[in-house]
Amino acid sequence: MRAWKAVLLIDLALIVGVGWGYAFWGLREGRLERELSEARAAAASGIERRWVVEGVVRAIFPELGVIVLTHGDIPGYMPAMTMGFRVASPKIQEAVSVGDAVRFTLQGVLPNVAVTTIEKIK
Amino acid sequence: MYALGLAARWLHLASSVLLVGAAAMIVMAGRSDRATAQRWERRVLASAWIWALAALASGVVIVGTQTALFEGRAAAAFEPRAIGQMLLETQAGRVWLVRAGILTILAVFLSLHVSVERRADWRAARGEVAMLAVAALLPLAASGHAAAVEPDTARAIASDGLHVLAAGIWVGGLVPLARLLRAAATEEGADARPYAVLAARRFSRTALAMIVLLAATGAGLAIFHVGSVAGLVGTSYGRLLLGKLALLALALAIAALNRSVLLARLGGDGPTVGRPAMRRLSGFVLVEAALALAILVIVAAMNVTPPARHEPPVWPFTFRLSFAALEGRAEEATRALIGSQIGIVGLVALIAGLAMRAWRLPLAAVALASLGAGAGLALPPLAIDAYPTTYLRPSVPYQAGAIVAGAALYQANCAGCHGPRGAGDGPEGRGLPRAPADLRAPHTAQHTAGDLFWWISHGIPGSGMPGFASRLGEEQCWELINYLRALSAGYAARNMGPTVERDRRWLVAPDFTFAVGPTPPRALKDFRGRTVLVVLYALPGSRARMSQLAGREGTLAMLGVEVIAVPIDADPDAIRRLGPDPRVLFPVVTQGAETIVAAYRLFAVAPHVELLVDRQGYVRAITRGSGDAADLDALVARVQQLNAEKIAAEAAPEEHVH
Amino acid sequence: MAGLAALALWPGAALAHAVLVKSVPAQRATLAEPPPRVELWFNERLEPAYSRASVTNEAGAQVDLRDGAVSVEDPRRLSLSLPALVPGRYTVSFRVLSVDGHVVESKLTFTVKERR
Repeated sequence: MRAWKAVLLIDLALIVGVGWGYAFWGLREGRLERELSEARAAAASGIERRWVVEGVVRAIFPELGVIVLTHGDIPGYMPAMTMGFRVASPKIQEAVSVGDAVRFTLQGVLPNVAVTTIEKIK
Repeated sequence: MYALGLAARWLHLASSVLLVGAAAMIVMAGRSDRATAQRWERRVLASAWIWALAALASGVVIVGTQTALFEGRAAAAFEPRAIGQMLLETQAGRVWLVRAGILTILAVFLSLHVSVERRADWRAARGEVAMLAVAALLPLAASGHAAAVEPDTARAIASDGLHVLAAGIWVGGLVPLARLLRAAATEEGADARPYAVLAARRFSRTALAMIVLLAATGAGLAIFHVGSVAGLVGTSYGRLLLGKLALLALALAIAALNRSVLLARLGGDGPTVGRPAMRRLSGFVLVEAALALAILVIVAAMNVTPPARHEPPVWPFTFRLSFAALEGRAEEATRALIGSQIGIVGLVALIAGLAMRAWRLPLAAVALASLGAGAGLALPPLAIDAYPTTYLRPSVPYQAGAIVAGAALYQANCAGCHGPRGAGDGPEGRGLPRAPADLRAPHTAQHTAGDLFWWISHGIPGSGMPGFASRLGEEQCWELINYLRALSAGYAARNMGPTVERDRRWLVAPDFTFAVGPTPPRALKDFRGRTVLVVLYALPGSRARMSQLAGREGTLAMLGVEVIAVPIDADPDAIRRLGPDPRVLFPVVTQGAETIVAAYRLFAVAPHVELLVDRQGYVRAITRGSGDAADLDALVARVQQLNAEKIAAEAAPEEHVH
Repeated sequence: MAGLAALALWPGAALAHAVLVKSVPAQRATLAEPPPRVELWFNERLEPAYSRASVTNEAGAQVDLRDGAVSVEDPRRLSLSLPALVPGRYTVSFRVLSVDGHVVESKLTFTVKERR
């Protein structure tokens, strides 16, 4: 066999090898990442979700049906911050006052979530 | 295990490098129909095959030692499961698999006897060997220290790849070159002499380019991995690098001799003219190769040593050089200036000497003399006492908690002599050989945190200051140093008022953590990039001001200001006490307030204090009392002034040492 | 045995390399509320297969939920979850491998305060 033919064969085999390696490692990693982000997106849309979060009551707007809470991390929705939330019924706000440490339930289909229960802790 | 791992690494590195060099040397020398040249080529290829096998064998040993290291037990080196996990699930393992695959193909290819009678075949076959050898060497960069450099990973890996490639072509090419020269210098090898001379010249040109490439990439990698003089002389990695550079200088001196003297003598067509020079060159090239292989021992050791950047440096000298030594010493400064001028004359003479052949010797003498004199004059005034810990970085960050802990340690251990407030006026300090230092004095660049660490641990001989190493642990020492830093910064901060001084950042805001109710703790540092107004308040005096801040929170937020309110009485019910009207929505600290207040009291004492912290974490303005501070427009103006400043690209303030 | 000793004696072989740059809870933090999880950030990417962490109480018993792992999103973060901890001093021990093949072992402590 002529040497250049042997070299050509080896190089072809190498290219196939690199391609296979990429298909195995690179693509698989890419697919996993895509699946992960898809799963996250699916989890974040269309389905009703529910979180139980702890926080502090900072302000109450009875006329708007809004309660402002400084809260911890809400996984998959928002990090810890101070944020106004809609309340499911006006009664909910009556149970707490500004400065209370509370545990509250946030429920709904994103982005339409509301506080459905709230209770003082300690 | 360590010695075995090191030996395997060296063998692996050396054989991979020699493989590249052998292939490159053959390509550089070109095809020849002389019998001696062809015999040389066959021998080089035969040894390349052995190096490929050696690289594979040593690679297997490396996998074993790495597996044992990763698993943390020696027996893992022989467990198929552990080895499989190491190979398939770590970056080093995957890189190894790729390289081992290429090396295997190369070894098989080298063992095939392909006919290279025709030019095209020769090119294809030898080119393939060179390509595979390079492909087996380059990925090394992706499993070494360079792979862990952040954030410039790609650039570090590329530099490292070029570095090993250049080393491969230069170092690896030396051995086959020496063999060729030796063969051609013999009586029977006379037919290959022109070929050998041509090959030596081509190699010399290429090697020069490779050495320039080595120096450039090496300098870049040194910055990535070492980064400072202290790292260079004070860590094992840095010292290995120094050893490597010393050996390299020797190898380069021989290379320069080979190139400028011996290579020139190879000319002449007569059967005898070049022969002695050729044999001598062959010998010197072998010495150069031996030195280069010795350098690889150091490289192998560097591979398994953590880079200097990540190690606490131990400063080996009793002094360091710094311009800070000249502060307030006019005479010494003049002396340093004159010395530096003489030094510059020396440099000019040196450059002139290199340019002008005829005057080389006298100019070199002048250059040496004035460089020496200049250094002798300029350097001594720059010397400052230094200790092994001088360049140590604090292991405890500059945080309110550490400052408060340090304050308690201070009162228990230091206040007796240095005074309850650090003024150096403690009752026990009277009658000491040297008056206790006033710790409120500005901590200039003249001493580092590491210097303080040394003094606290080991005392200051002859001054009456004892060492506390037996009483204070390392962590406690650093807490104390954090307190001292805050103490002197706070003393200087007494002059800071509500006015923002343009581009003057000197007062670092100590970091603190706080929580609002049951929410997870946050740190001041997390707000970096935003302007923060830290408000230490006390009710009822601060109520009007708090209402004002609450009412204008929207305006402040739009200007990029975060307000953090800290009740001075650390009341966990602070939010309820502020009440529902007006609505206070910025964080009011309900957990961690005592610590923040205790630390920040060092900077300002008043029933109501506001500290304006800029986007880089420096306190830029302090207002005391809520009376005149109640003017919100003034605050807005200050914030606008801060926002107009450019953010300097300097290190985060907590990295600053003194 | 001698080999292992040599490995241990080699300067820096087990010292800081993949350096912990930040942790929640912070080193020596005193917390009023027990933390739900421990998160460790390093200056370098970690090898997930060989990076572990655990939390032990003063008695030395492991109290974490044994789910310590390198984050998928950020290969420089290692996190593990905790049950509701009783007040006391806890030690977070970690052993991590950075992508350049260096193993680092270290620990940090935090304290959970009694509720007032």
